[in-house]
Amino acid sequence: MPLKKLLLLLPMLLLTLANAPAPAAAQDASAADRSATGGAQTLDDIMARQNKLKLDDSFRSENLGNPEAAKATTEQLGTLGGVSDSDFWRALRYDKAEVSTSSRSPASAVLVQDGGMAWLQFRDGPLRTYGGWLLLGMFGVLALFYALRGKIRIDGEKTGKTITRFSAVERFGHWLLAGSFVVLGITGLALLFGRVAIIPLIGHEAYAPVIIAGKWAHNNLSWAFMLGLALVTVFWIAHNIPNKHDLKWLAVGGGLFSKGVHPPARKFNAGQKLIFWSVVVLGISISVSGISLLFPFEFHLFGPTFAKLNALGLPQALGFGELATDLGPHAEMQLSQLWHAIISFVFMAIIIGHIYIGSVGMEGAFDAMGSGEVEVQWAKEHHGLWYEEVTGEKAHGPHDATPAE
Amino acid sequence: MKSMYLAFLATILIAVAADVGLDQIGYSAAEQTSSAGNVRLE
Repeated sequence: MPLKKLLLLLPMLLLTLANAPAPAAAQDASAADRSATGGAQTLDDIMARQNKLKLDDSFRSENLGNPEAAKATTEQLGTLGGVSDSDFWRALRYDKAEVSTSSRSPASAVLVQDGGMAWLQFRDGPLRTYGGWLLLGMFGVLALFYALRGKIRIDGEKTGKTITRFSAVERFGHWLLAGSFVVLGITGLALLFGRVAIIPLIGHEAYAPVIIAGKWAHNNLSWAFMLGLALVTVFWIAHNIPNKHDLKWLAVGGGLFSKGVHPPARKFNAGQKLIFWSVVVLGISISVSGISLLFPFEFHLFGPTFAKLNALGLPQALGFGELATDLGPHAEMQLSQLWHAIISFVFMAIIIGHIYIGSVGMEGAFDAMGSGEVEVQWAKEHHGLWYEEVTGEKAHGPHDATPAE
Repeated sequence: MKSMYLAFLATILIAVAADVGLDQIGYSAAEQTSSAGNVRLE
């Protein structure tokens, strides 16, 4: 499958998985007999909702009263306009009431929205649990890898000479992205885990000013992140187009797991390209969802996205059925926040690996982004084809490629 | 390393500029739901 199609499918797949209903939701609640309640909901309906079963709510959502049936004002107890209090509250509940408010905030006309608990339960449950384990697992894998493989050293004899690997502008863009990302990651984790992990340690009084500063940093450093993302994308996109050397690199695991194995690589090897495209795709996704959080209720991302996914038939093919597309402003915000956090965890896990191999994991790798100058032997071993392109000299010995630092 | 330190400085400057800039153009996320200016009494 062409790479472009794969790149299109990736965010869609991630979107679909993120919004997948719980397995139980796929089951339909059995049709309830509501004759005993005159058509109103029964205990079975309530229990079905609590068990997250799919429930045909039309008996409530379409039971909104009949203004035509209004009693004349001359009659006793008239007139409610044919709409009882229950009818009216159901209309509010299903966003079918014509609401006019004195507040001019964007979502002020939504008076009832029932997605908050589901959002909170997911945020406090699976998001924290699986996200936390993902990061801890990544640290564990890297620790194990370091214990088994150790630091990847330069195999040949060092020359004492250096070659420019990245220009000052390239390094500026990288560090603009990296510096902001690290702070965004730490403050994001503090926001998510503060109540369960930080407050018990330092108390509410100490946590409050810390997290106020963290929130300020998280909101405002995002612009530096987006600028850095744009810069590195422009700088390096041409160097990250896949080529035949990538297959050779991947075939031997980039030489990660054995000494003296160095597949050929140009400026970026296959591992680095995977990191690059992950950063671009996840970076754009996290930026878009972040902007929708920065400007509450101004954007509607998920309704239109779900409509496109439904049209493609992807959710249906995966057994999730059609995704809801008629999303209110609060539902959009809830989904944006969850999506933002899910992408963040995946992003952080990848970048932890990137930081490892670019620092303690490989001798000489940090110099590429530190001073911009790398040892010639390092360049010959890890980016032999690039070294030949830049210097016009042959990189003696086997072409080398570094793991994805 | 100069590029790295410059980038970190730029990150801070961009953050401050974004905060002040958004406030100057009249946008504040906090005001979206709490500002008295958003309420019209009739």
